[in-house]
Amino acid sequence: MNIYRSPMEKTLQELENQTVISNPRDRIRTWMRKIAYRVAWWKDRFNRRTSGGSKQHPRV
Amino acid sequence: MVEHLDILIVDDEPIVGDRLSSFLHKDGHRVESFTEPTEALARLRDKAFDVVISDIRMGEIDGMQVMEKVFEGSPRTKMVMITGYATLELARESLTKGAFDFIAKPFKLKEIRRTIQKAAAALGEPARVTPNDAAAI
Repeated sequence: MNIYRSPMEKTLQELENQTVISNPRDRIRTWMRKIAYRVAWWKDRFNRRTSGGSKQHPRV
Repeated sequence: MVEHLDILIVDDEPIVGDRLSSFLHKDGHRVESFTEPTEALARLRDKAFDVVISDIRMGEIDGMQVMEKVFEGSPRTKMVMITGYATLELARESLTKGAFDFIAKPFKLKEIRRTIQKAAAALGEPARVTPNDAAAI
């Protein structure tokens, strides 16, 4: 658990945690590519579960 | 668990390295950031880092090549691959080649913190991964 010296410090920390790192030259397409990746990831995960496939790398 | 890590960041976008290094520095880690992969590789020849965070697409030298060089010099180093061009194939290739984690951009800073915490925990444990693990994927 984090200990903060003031509510402001806590707020700043929370804001920093939510800061997004992206490709600054191509934010929208980078975001769309991530959506496509996540969809493919969930689809692959679903297929593995239903077909009882490899679970070597469940993160991928 | 190793608390304060030596971390090297290589990303051709200066803002990515700046943001990540200031965030991780606040967490108490010693961070060095490079925008040129060749400079990062030269530094990696001098020093073994606990964690290397590398972008994958960077021009002449890509993140996969950085990872190979890192493991040649320091097999215990945890590689975290970040990319704005994520695909399942790229993620699989990264993890098969030994990456500790694969993170698709855009991501929140707290995701990197979580990964670094996991890497710190793994660095404190005896090695369990064998080449057969990767071959079995």
